Amino acid sequence: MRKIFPNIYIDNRGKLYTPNLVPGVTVYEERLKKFDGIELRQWDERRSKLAAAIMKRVSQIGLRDNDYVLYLGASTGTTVSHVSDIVGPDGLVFALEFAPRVLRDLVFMAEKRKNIAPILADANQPNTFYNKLCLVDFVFQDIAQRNQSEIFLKNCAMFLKEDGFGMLSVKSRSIDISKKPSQIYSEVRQELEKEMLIVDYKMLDPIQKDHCIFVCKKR
Amino acid sequence: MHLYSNALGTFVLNQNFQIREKELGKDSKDKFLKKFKNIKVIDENDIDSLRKALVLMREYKSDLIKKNTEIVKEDIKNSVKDDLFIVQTINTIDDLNKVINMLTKRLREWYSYYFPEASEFIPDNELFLKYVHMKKKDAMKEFGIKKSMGPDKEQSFVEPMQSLAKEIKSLYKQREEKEIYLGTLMDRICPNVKAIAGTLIGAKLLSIAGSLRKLMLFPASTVQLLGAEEALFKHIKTGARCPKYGVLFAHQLVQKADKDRRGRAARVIADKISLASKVDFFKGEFIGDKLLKEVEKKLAN
Ligand SMILES: C[S@@+](CC[C@H](N)C(=O)[O-])C[C@H]1O[C@@H](n2cnc3c(N)ncnc32)[C@H](O)[C@@H]1O
Repeated sequence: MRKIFPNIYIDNRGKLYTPNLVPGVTVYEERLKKFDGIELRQWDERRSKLAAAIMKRVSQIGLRDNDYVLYLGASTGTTVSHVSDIVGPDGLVFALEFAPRVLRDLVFMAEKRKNIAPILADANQPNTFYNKLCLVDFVFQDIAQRNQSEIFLKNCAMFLKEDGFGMLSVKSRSIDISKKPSQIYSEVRQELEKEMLIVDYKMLDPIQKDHCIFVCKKR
Repeated sequence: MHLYSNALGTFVLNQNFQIREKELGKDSKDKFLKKFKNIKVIDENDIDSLRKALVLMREYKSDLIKKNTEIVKEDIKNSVKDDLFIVQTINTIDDLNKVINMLTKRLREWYSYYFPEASEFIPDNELFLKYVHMKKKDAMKEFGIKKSMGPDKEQSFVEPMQSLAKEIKSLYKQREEKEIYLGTLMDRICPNVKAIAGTLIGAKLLSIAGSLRKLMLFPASTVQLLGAEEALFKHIKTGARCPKYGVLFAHQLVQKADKDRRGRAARVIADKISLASKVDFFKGEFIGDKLLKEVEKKLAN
């Protein structure tokens, strides 16, 4: 077992873990493991684009202890729970999701953790939720929308601090199923580069089919 | 000076964006606007100022969590509209059908070691259940057969099958009840969709769309293909033939149409369903009977 990023561990079978913020409690029936006096939660890369990016050896993620995070497309909170582990008790995760049904599950999870603020809103309309947030150190987005890069840039412009990091997971099929994924990725890259510095880029195949992830830094 | 208000409360900021005064837990915008002259309200059109205010909010972590949790619970509560109960009911009916089929198939298999002719002669599932309760002797007389391929068994072998048959029978009853309930729900929530599509097809469309609102937002061409998502995806990806209908295939007016005109029938019906869903969503009048007549007229020629 070794640490590869702040609060992210990998064991010798290549499985990822984060330190459990609520020892003894699991979120999606993941395995728990003791290491060095702390309890770790296994992080399934097939259920998380962020974990998949780490497995594909992304060079930086720019996420640390105590960070404040805006997470767009939080769903039931599988990945959010690991981000909550990573930023720790002094961090904060705004978990934004527009489908009430899945957010309901996330609220139950969030109440056990004390560092998550759930928000029901459309990521495409920051003007409907800017009054619920503070400036953040990190923006993560995983939503299947046609204009996902525009949404990402809009939110970074409003909520991400200078020099803050952002991560965008792109699902090529939800932009245009008739186009080749590689063509879509390069279009997204061009759009992002207008406002952000692209630090790294990884295709997530075969862990997540037709997905790629961009790590960006705010200029 | 600047005025910033958010979910936590209202803040008065000086030129250097430091908090000069604040009131948490209420909206004191008007009060502060009166108290301070020359104060500018911060909104989303002034991103620079907004970002400076948002920096200050970093000090309010526990309030932000508390307040957002409170708001989100209320938001989730308010998101539950009655059409979601239509979706749950039709999904339950689908599940009941699956369970009924599965258990009946099992019962037929089981019973056929005792009296295979019953299953062979009675293809209708509901009727078959009745025969399971009948004496083998009597049923054989009715079928006009003298010998069965199944061995005679004492009652203790037959009873467990009969009790399963009773259970399945009650599932049929359950399904019937839910269909009646579904009809009354739809009369209240989407009478126009119901009038054109029928109870089961209308509810199925709602279920695939997810809600009445989503169904209403779909163009008619999408409504026409709801339930044919896989075929549509294949069409786009591989150029296979474009589907002409999904759920609407089961509609009696599509069934009645000539084979080569079923696509057109589905389109005409989808057109009116689309219109009907808008009327229902905005709680308009009942025009379902009129719309249905228009459909029938169009399809007649
Ligand atoms: C692929 S899932 C995210 C899974 C999650 N990131 C995880 O790893 O656990 C995408 C989510 O984004 C949500 N979503 C899509 N568009 C959205 C929007 N405009 N605003 C907010 N949420 C959105 C969907 O409802 C869905 O729950």
